[in-house]
Amino acid sequence: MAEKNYYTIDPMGKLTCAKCRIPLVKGKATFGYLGNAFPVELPVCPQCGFIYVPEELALGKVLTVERSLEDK
Amino acid sequence: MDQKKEHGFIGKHYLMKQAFGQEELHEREAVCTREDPPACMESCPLHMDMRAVCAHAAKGDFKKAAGVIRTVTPFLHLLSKNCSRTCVLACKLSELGDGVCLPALERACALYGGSGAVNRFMLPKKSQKTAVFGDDLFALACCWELGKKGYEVHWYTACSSMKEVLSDWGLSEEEAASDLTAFAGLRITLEKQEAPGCEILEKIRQEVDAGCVSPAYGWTELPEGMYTAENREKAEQLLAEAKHTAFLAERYIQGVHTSPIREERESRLFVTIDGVKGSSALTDAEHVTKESATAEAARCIQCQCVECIKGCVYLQHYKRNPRAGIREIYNNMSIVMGNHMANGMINACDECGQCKAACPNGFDYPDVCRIAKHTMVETGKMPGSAHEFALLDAQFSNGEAYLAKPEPGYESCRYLFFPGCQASAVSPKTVEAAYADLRSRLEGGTGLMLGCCGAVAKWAAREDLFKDAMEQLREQWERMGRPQVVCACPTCKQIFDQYTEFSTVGIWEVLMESGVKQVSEETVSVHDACGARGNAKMQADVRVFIEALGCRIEKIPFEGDVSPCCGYGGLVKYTNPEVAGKKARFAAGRSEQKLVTYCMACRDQFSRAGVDTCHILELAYGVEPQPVPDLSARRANRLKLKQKLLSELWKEGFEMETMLPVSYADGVLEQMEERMILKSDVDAVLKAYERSEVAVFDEENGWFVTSCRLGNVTFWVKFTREETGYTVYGAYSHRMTVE
Repeated sequence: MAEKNYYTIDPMGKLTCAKCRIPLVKGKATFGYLGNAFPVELPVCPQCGFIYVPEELALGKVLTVERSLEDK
Repeated sequence: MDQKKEHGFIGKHYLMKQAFGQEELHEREAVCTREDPPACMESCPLHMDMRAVCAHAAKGDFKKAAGVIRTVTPFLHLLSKNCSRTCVLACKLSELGDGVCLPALERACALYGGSGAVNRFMLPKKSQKTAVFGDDLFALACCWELGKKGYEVHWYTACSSMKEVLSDWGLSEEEAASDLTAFAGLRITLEKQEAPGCEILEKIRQEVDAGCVSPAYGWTELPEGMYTAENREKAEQLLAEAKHTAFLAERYIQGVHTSPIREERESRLFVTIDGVKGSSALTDAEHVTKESATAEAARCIQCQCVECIKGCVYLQHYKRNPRAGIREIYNNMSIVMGNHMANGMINACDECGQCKAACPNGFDYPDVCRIAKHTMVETGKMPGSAHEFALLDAQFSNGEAYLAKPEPGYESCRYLFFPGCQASAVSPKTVEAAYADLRSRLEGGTGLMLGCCGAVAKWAAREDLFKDAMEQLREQWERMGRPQVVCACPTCKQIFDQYTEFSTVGIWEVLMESGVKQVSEETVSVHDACGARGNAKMQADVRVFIEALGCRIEKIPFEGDVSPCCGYGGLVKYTNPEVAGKKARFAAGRSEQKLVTYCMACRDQFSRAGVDTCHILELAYGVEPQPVPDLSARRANRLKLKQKLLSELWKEGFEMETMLPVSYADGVLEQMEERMILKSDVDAVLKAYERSEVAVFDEENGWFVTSCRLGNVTFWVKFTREETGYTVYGAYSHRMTVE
């Protein structure tokens, strides 16, 4: 069975790692908060492993989940 | 396992702590009188909810209004003609004019409230038989009471019909028929019995399970299971007696012992009648129309106590009364698994104590919020995001920005000036001027302490951090020779008075003692700080000081002990900026002239609300209120003040951390303020970038985005780098970790 992903975002070739100078690709990442883990797919640098969290995600879904976990 | 039990662990992971039990909850709830009946209901022997009747009738809904009365009695016409109007006399409005003419509403309900017939499928059916003896209203009412409960009723009477009883009370044929619609479907059998004697009572008692006997017979010795009452004259009293007697008979059938004596408790309901004016009742109750009845019902002020709510924006925002609120908080504390829905509500209470001061009985809602916050901290349920920013700010006040020095030239001092963290953050010039003035006025040396009194930790229910803050302050206070602490903030003074052995005095008292010059001729209003609640002397002293400065004081609503919070208290400004903003606007909106505060946090909040305001010390020293500082400027002000005073007074250097040259694109600083991101956070992220050079280039927007985890938060900054420095196009953060 395929692993569940809570969120997927494709960099669409518009994001580049400034250090490695190569395009970011869709890669696996895990958000963690208060002992909970959420596997997601985010733009990741295939070389240095830098994970990019876009503003819409940070202030949208991430914030909502943070708040609901804090009230658990 | 035992250890887990001791620590209140439930299951594997859940730490549980019950702050108080149900018994205490009920005791706390009972302090509030809002559930007590209004005067009309209390004075009515039938305890009819005429407040609800008026509420429905005022909307023109006589069916619902009649429904309220019919839950108690079906005799609407009878009551409207015969009830002795005790409710009208008891009505709160009768203190100002005429009480609401409730018999007119009863008549309107009888005329326009539809039929009292109950759907036969809705009627209960019980197997037991009951008997009712009597020819009067008492007996008829007993028949209805027992019949509607589902019992088979045998009515032993000399009457030939039910209407006969009602016509004795002056009801016409139609009116009697209307009142008797409620009897349709009830299993009542009329057993014709002329002048029954005690012997027949004994005989019939063998055939039924219980019964009621009219007091008109005067029989006192009744067989077991048969009940009677005191003989009454008035209709409503007879109906009330019948209700109680039928209740006793039913309890007998159920095998439950009930004391025949009714417990009457006096209503404690306090009624808020602000702005209510007296008016006259309708004149012709006999010929009431729908319109006149609606108008009469609309005169009802719906007696209720809103003393706690009327001045509290928080309770209005959450649409709660404190009584309902504490139950919700109690339930919130009792949840082991599931969502804690009231966390936000608990953390939005500023614990200012206004509601408690306003309550005629002193209902202590803030205390429950305080207990809940402590429980949340102790069980790890306090949301990390709630108070962290404020706690870090307090840590900054008592760390980087902290200053504690005896006056230059002194080793120990007689006095210590403690302006409070907000004064240094909001108006450093005032602190400087006040300290210079105090040094010139007071003999024996006046030390200075710039820091946080611990209120922030107290509000965040962090007793550990509060203890640390107290130890830090106490150590310096001891070192300075236990000076008297001159406070410029009522909350600091309150904290020191409550939790330390410091001798304290308000700066306004010190200045008054050594003479105050007139500096203004303005007419102003005074906002009392939460720290001065219950402290009549402080409230009065401040007013004397303001008048000595030359101002004329005009009164405003909600002064003194019932003064509302400015929105800063309880750290609500950080936990719930929306409620804090509403509070500031409400408190600021009370005054049409300049609003003078004696707490710098209040002054800052009112400046944000856009009104003409100043702090008493700004007034005294002629310091023009500066533009409202943002979160970063509040920190910078404290550091600059420390640097300036150290350099000018103590000839000591203080190096502030050099920040990278950053310019912010339009709207970014406002965005950062809203998201509670400091310039120092941006600086730390960019410095981390300089070390690692890790960033993402966003081709679409042409900027770089980099991040850095600072404490429990990951900050992201969008930037470009030029030769002269950085330009920042945005910043955001999240608390989740990402790997």
